[in-house]
Amino acid sequence: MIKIGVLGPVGSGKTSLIEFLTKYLVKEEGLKVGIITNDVVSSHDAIRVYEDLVLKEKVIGRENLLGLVTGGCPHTAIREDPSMNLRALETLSRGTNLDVVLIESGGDNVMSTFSPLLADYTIFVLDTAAGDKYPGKGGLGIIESDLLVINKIDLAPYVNADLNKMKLDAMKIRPNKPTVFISLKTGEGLDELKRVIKEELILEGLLKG
Amino acid sequence: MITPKAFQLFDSSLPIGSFTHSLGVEEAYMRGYEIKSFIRDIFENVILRGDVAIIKIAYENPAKADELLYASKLPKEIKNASIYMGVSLANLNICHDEYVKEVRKGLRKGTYPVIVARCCKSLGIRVEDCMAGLAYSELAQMVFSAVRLRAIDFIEGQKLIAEILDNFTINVEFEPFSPILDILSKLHENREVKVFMS
Repeated sequence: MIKIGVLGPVGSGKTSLIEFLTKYLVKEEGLKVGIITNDVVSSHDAIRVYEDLVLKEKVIGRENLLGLVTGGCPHTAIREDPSMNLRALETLSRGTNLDVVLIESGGDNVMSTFSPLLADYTIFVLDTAAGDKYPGKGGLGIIESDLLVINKIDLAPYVNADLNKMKLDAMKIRPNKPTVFISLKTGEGLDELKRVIKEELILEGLLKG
Repeated sequence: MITPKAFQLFDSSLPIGSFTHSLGVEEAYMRGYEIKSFIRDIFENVILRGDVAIIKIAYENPAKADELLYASKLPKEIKNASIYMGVSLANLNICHDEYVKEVRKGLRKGTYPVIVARCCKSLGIRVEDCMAGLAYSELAQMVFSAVRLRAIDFIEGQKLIAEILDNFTINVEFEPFSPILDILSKLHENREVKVFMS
């Protein structure tokens, strides 16, 4: 089983990414997927995922989804004190033979990272709507993550975000690490995202090359 | 001399999930209670007379203490908070004790003060120091929660801790009683947007 941590600022598209990845991994790769959502103040994300993936699309079972409310310290809940998430992981794994568990952090800043005990692979999600200062300004979460996803590229022209600058900045601060540019709304870049994730799952022995 | 291991056990950054529990402070603040008085009241009637007082019993008979304390905590949130922190502490594997081992295996409930007591005993910490440590730790947890909620500022918070610690005694019977905390905790269970799990 591989634990994939998804983190990034509020509104960058973490929940949408998790929904997309779950559908891809279950429908196209035939894997069993579990999800843990961390919400800062409410069960909003868990309810949304439940309605979309469990009730509407029937991609995962109800028992494969757990929602946590972490309070005002989302980074603490996934790094310094991941006890609540580790307990959720144990609950989720009990009796279900999962291949992939996607763990969504509460929306946080660029310094947020996952404890290596909690996530084997991490995806940091940024979006162009916040401008193109990032990823160039750096931050532990952006630098340390295994994959950087830049979402909402369809909005870039409207907010004067220079995608080429973002690409060069990403290469500079994350040498030899992948960055993918996507729009979960239009579908642009999603094939490349699937390719990068598949490559990782092949390395983990969960998929055949 | 107090063993340095006591400081590890009662450190507010010990990774047992305590940062997600306000022990009633959030609901009290949201409902307009004067928060310093509320903290003083809960410290006196629930922490000292409940969690701290049970330590003495747990040094000798952890199974009885665990059952007693669990039964004394009525609202689900308060029960869960104690179990979550207790089991997380047991899972840290920093103290070697048969009862803690049973909790790790899921054979016992594992309320937080009972696990603390067993850890203290196995680490050679005197029962009085263990009680004082837990009193400080739970008081600090409430005060830090109040500061995070902006109910008080950080200077007021430290002043409150100092004032309470100046005047407290740990020589009390086990008789926790706070219907206000129970009612607030039940109300908090239904609060949709919240900062803390209890």
